[in-house]
Amino acid sequence: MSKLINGELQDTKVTQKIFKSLHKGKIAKVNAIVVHQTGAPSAQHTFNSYQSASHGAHFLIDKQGIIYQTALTSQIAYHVGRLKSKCIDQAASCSASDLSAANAVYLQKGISYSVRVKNLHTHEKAKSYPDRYPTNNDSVGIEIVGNYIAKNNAYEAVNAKQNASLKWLVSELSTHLGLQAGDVYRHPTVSYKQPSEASTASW
Amino acid sequence: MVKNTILLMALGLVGCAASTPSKPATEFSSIHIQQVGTDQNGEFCKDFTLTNEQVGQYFRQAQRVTFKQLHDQYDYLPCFVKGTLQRQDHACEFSIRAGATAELTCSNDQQFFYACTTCNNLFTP
Repeated sequence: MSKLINGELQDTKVTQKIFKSLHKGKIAKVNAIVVHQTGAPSAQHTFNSYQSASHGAHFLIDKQGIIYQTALTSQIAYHVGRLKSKCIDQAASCSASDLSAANAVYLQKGISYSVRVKNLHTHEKAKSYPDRYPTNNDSVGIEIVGNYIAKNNAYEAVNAKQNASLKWLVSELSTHLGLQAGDVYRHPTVSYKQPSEASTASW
Repeated sequence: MVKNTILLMALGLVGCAASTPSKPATEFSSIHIQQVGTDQNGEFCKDFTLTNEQVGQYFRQAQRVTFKQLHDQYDYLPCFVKGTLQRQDHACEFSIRAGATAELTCSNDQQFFYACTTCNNLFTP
């Protein structure tokens, strides 16, 4: 059994490679896990981008299934993006008036599609979890190394070693953070991302 | 008199430089939209469409970005137009999405990604 001490997941299966540049402030409570794919061919590509980029997740699983911790779970990292509306996606999860309010923002005429989703993000962010999808402020992100192939219009498949490591990592984090099965999401479920991202991930 | 002549010549040169296009007009040509569609049901994409001319305008205004920039900084929206075009003598397939993002896959196996921050007028139904 691993230990989670001051945001550091301690276990022989986890290699610590913390990038302080990814830390964006303290997380008050972790409510969920969001599973991503990197869109890059190797772990090193992502590590290189973490040297200067402000976007990144807390963990990275490479092609061999090796788990790296890249940010402390006690710290916010920018990995989610603009929120979709859980209320619109799962109408049964909210009241008719909440659905009507979300749709009024989402379908507003006379403004661009980008501004509509920006406004919807602001609308959703004001809600509490689990009435909304998780945000950067209350979730931990796991990146799986996998390239995006434009001619196939899809990310490459997550391999068996990566899925075995993901399953272990999700289980350990869920235990430490008190999360349920329904608190683990694929990135395109919560935000406007290519639908095949993490679609072959299993946990 | 000499001073005035030099000034006029200088103004002429500035005028010539200002009228030179920064991008060759033929970089994108033979644009043909083949499909207008959406990845999801519902009303959001109901009014989304572009013309061939607007596709050309989009690619003239858009900036090349890396896949990481596209993924991290822009929204992948469900409404799209897909089609074919010529980019610098290569046949390409394009896909433009309502979030003002695009992907281009060309016959020389090259992939290009684009985003446009000044194209809101093309994406306002």
